[in-house]
Amino acid sequence: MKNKHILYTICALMISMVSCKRDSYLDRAPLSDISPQKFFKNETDLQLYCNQYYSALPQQNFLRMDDNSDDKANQTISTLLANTYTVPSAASSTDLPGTGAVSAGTTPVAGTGTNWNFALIRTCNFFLANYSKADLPEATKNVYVGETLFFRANDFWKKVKAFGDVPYVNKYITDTSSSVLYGARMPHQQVMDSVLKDLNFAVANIPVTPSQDGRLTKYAALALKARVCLWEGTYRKYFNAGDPTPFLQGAVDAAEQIMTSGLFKIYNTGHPQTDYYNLFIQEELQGNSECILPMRYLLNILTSDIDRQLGQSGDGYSKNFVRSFLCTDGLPYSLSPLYKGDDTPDDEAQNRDPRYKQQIATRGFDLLNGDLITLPRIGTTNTSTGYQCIKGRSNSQLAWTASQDTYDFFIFRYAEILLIDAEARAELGSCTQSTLDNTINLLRDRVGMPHMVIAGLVKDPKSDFPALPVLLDEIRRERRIELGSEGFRFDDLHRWKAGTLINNPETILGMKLTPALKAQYPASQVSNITVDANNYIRVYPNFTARVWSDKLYLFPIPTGEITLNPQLKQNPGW
Amino acid sequence: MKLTTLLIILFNLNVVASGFSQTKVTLNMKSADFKKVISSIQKQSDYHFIYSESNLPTIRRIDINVQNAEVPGVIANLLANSGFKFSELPNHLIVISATGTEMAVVKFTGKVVDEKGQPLPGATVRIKGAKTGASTDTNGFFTLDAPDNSILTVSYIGYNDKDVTASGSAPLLIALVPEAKSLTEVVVVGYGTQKKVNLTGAIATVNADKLDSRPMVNLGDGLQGLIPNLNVNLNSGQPGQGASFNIRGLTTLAPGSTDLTTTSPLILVDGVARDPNLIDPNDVESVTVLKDAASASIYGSRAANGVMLITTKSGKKGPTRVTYSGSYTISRPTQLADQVNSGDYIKMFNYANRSGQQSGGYTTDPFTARDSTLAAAYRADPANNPTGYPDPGNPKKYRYVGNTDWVKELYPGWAPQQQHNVSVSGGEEKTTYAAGMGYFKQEGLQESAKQVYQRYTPSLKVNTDVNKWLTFNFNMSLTHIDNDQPAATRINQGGPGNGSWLTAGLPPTMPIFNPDGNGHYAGQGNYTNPMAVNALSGRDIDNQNDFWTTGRIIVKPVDHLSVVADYTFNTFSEFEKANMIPYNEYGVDGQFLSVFPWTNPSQVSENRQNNTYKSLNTYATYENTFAGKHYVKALVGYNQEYYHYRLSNATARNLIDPTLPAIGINTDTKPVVGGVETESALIGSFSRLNYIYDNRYLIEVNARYDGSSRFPANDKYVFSPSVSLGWNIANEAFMKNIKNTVNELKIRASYGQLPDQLTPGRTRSVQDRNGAMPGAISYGNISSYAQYPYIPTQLTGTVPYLIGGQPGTTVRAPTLLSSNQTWEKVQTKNIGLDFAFLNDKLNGSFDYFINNTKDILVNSLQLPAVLGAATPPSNSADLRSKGWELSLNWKDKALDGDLHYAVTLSLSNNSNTKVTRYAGNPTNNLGDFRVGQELGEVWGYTNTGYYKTDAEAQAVDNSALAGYKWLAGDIKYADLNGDGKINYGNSTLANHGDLKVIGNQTPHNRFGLNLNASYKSWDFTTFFQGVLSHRFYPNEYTFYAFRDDEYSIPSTYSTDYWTPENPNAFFPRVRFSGGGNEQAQDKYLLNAAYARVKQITLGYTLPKVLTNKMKMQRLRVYVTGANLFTITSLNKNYDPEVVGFNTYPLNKSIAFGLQASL
Repeated sequence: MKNKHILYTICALMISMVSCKRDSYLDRAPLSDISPQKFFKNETDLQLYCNQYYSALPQQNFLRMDDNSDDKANQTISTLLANTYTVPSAASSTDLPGTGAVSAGTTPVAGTGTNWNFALIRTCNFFLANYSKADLPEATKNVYVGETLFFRANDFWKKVKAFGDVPYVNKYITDTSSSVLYGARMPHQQVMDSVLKDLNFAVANIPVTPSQDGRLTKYAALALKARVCLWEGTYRKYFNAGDPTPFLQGAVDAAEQIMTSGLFKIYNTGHPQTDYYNLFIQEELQGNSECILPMRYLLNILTSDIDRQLGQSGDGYSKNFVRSFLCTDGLPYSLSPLYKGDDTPDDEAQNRDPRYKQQIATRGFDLLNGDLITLPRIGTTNTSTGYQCIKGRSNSQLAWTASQDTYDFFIFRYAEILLIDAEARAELGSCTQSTLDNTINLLRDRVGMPHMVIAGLVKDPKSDFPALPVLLDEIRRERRIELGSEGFRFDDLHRWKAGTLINNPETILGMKLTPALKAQYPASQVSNITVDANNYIRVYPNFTARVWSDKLYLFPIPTGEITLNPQLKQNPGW
Repeated sequence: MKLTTLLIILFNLNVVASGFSQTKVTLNMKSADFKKVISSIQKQSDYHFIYSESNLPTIRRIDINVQNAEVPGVIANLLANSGFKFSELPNHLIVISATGTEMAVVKFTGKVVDEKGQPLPGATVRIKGAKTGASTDTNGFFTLDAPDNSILTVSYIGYNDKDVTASGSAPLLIALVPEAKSLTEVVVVGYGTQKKVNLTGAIATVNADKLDSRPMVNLGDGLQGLIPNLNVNLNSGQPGQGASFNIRGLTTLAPGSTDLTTTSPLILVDGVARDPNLIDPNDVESVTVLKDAASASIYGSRAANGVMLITTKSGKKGPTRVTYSGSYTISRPTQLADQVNSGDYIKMFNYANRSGQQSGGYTTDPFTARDSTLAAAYRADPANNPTGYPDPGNPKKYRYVGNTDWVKELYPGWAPQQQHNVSVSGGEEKTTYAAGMGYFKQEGLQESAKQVYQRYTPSLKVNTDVNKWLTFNFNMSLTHIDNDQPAATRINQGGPGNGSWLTAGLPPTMPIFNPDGNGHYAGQGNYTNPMAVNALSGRDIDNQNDFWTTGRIIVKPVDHLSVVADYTFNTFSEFEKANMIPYNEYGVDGQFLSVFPWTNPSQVSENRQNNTYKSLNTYATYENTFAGKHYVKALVGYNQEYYHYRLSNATARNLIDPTLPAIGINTDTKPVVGGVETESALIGSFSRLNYIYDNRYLIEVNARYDGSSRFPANDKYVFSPSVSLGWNIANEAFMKNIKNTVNELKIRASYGQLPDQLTPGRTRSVQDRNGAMPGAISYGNISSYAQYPYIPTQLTGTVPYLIGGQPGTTVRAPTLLSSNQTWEKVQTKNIGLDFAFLNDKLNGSFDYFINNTKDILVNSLQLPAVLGAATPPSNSADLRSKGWELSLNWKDKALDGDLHYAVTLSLSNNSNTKVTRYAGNPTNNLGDFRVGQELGEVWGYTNTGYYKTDAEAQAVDNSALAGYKWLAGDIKYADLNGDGKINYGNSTLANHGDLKVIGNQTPHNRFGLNLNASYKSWDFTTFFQGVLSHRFYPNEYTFYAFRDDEYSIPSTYSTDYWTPENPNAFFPRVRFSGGGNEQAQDKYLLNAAYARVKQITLGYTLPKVLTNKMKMQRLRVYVTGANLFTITSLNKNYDPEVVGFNTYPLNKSIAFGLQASL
């Protein structure tokens, strides 16, 4: 039968198919993804990889920053300072509440900050383990090693601030049984010594003029170094935790390298009543003399939603913060004859450091497109205390439109460098009048305030730091005023070991709401507002004061992490 | 005269030999007798001889040598001068008789009817043994010329053959009896069919008769509850939403999360893997579910979670048949939560705010006294009071004081849907065909969204028998889908497409339009008004084409053997275009406020997919019975599959004309472009052997050897063996006497092991493995990780930081993968019983199974976060589940055969799904899987009422649950470990504080009850479905008032809350984000058991007399109600079938339908 031939053919065909393995058919590799073997060939690869770190840059965007401090009393009480923060069970990738500057952009990238997440550190370590494959001159490669170390140092520093001792991982781990994962925490000082080493490498290898607009510059690296060194130097001093001098000196060195470069200058157009305010609503900070590194926003390319949120963030400066503004004679309210008292908002703002009206919404401030402030907008989402924060807040309708805000923010601002230099020198005992003239007095010139003159300094009887030498005390005041809402305050309280400042009831009080003033408001708007015996607004009717506990200097480690690695010991008090 | 017939069938397989007309023969015989010669002729041709055995030509030695000679001529030559003559009747009957005698040839007429007396058109009437005969006409009548006293065999598919002796000229009335189904029913199994009585695995089938009677949106609707342990999840009532399927519960764990993975079976439509949600349910002929490893293992590593085999309808020989079925349905949600009115809302809102103020919890701006007064005025007299007034804090904006029932506004009425299906089928001689066109249109439940979903399903099936040993088979089908919905889906702002039915933060105080009468939508930037988004912000239009072609050759080269080869090509293409149009928001007196942020800037995004799938199957089957007792069927085959996915997307912002959805017309300096391309391949060779001894002892052995591209080089191949046994007790000699009582009784047992090729990569998307990654594209299984789970890759994306004036492009670090991950394996033991009693009136089956899944790919170990990467998965967990399923059918008639009824009950349970090995959790953390854990268990606190005073509340350390101060009216949990604190210890098994297992959320004991009855022309079907035991912990904001924050709108159900005046309320004191009261706890573990009338149908079939007059075969009209009644004690916010809040609700519906055939 002829059919048999067909049968045999088919059978043979099938048997051959059945019996053979067809690796060629089964070997499939990614068609649209990058494989690590083929990466890190050239400078572009190094750049593309390093780009991912940039979203970890801290920007001073004013939005609910300094919540965990004596500067602010927001609608909702800070859980940390109210001592209601609970120990998390698992490591989170979001920043801990109010622990300083948020990351760039609207979506913070996982694992970049004050949290028990080491993703960014791993990302950096992967680079360090692989970058040398690129066929490039050592100097070129070192630029990107410098960028990597900059970000790794920044992240470790943030972790040290949050947790104290932290596990120091500086290798790319592929073996998950590695003992590194189960080690003890490295002491604070040791981690910070490594951080300083990394920063020094970054400073030495990152060029002054970057290969691409927006990349880190040598001065950005120096700025971070100055910031970190001041923090660590003063921390060591006030916590009696090692020799502060190398760090304080490092801060001075870094700051003065920036100052002597001649590239930066305080933004000053000769309008003391507006320059300071205007500095924070700049469409373009690139090229601004005060800007060391900007967080830029461009219409249709990258925009933020900050301006609109600043108008309705329900926050407010505390009474305590407002009191710290000097009067225009350079004296604190407790000493100055110019102080008019605080029975009305207008009185309180009169004769004060011009930065007062440039940071707090006072009469005549245009909140939005002609919506002028008459009375502070208490009883609304605008402000909790009556001292509505207006840094970065413009009256522009366009900027207010959601996600259409293109105002740039500072990542590193020259003013901070000047304040670092003054403070570090004061701590070292080397702050002279010429130091002040080159630093703080430049800031005062912008706003038309009298110079700080060492010889003429009088100790404020109401000072928050009664024991502190008057020079250091006033430098700290200048820092608080100049950097208000920029996210430095909790870190400052930490390094100065000054957590007890939050015990001051004035840190959770708002403006004075006398019956006379109250009568000027529609009754229904202010009917829910509680005041204390002296008519100051009590933002939290059930708290008369917060109680500091030293455990709050450090955050707790997630319990799950301690269960996994018994070598980790919980921070004291948690 | 005694007549005998001879019958020899050349091909005993499925060759439809009667279709050929063979009239010529080739004979080369020497010294043959006459009988032998005509026997040869009968073999070669269609001719059949009728003669008297005792009266044949006695020619002994015939030498004959003819080539291709016509039979009558050959016979004439043979009979020449033999004293015999012949006469030829129609249908190739040749009557041989002695010259002298006259054989009476009669023209018989008759009618063939079914058991109800209805005519059976197309029944075959033959002289017994003959290959051909007559067919009955549409009224069941036939005429046939045959010798008097012939035995006529009448046959009809689905009925027992009947022999009648025909004599005389009186018309015959022949009533056929349906076959005893249990004995003859043929079931589709992997790569073939099998008699149901011979099955040894756990297999269940549903045929068109059950599916036809109900109007289905998709197949999931129709299958729900019909097959025990085929768990159908309808997901939601969203137009276009498909059902998901699961067989026998969970077989794997999801690495990296404690979410339970729903494992989907392999679903094959006519032998190829297809999405069952994309086929027209009207086209489905039958669905077979292969539940145990033994029956599924022929599909190897694709079948670890069972197999569903869907067979579509094909043409049948006979006159052309045109069938139309159509229905018009109106539907509305089964269940919608009820939000509070403005009065309760303001009251609860301010109460929550006070709670926060008193305890250092979440606080916000409260409603003022003026708000309450004005809101009350509006509620009392809406016509004369405004819904808002200028905000003193911001005079451009309104403070809203209206009273909007958003649920009612968004879901006001019934949404229509319709479906139509026309099919033409038939065929004669060698070719049969079936062509069809289906159309389905559904409008969404959310009225203002104006969603329209349309599906077109043309199909064509052709079958040609080229000759006796070669058949060609061609199937083509296309599914075209148009789905038009608002762009709101894109921004997750309350459109119907994101699966949620109501956006959060729609306070009742907000009106739909601003109070100034300018016609501006309310919202003012603070709130998303879904009515505004739906009306103003553009559309999202999705078109899909899913095109399938299969070509198949069936060769039957010799007896008992058939060889099949088929090749399938599929292309799936999708084009989705979404246009977002910015719109203005206005405040007091129509003052412009701002542009609604979430649809700004204007943009068009296009998503394209172009996927192909190719598969080749070849297999050979040998089937024979030796010595009458040894039945053997052997199968060997090869299968290969290839998937290629390509997708791309592009988004351009800042359109020159925002309302013109043209991607090229923009001023965007950097449009976003993305794309993914992946492929995967699979090969498998398989074999199966069935042996049956004497219809009593059955054995089946399967083996498959698979290779998959998803595993590394040294681990690509895997073996899947299985064996199953059966003992057909009913066929034992000792059962002979009760054969009519016990028609079938069979015990089955099986064991098999199936690896799962999909395991790595199925359960985690790329994003999960790499953390938040702005700009990275992930499309479920179309991702590098899903297709190459063992190959680390570096993803790209952008960072929100300008480098060179543009957001920086970046290449990320690779994923951490384990180098030695390998296959998971599911081992299934199954024992079953099939039975049929009382002449098949009662039949059913019972199965008990144990599934052991070995080497589940999970996170190898919980690793310290210091690693900085997601823990790589490794094969380090086992899972065991047990379960059973029972199905019972009772079928009978009553009232003198006028009433036919059938009851089908299915019951199933898969219980005790336990983790038996899990290396990933050495600390036995409760937040992860652990050994001994029963899946679905809920750890919670014991509710002992409320704290009566603030002092009592603050005396207890509750700080682990919530940091705020606890107050009177907060929940007092039992301090189980007596340490004076309420806490979760360190959340491990060893130290779980005051937590205990308070219940299990796995649904248990599902049932389905199907009732069919027909009385004369009326038919009635109803179907109940439900779950007998199900606990549900509703951690959702419709349950707890303000669970998340101030933007969670409470439901009317949550108004029974604690106040000093209402100390015995069901809910505690109202708080914003009151986490302490929202802990899992026994009091709020709800009973979600339910029984639901899924369907109730009444149909009427026009009597034959009438349809005949209309020249139609059949005309039926029906009305169906779906999901109309539900019995449950569950909170009215939930539909017990899709527990979980904020899912687009299921529909209840009423349908009117028509089925007609010509």
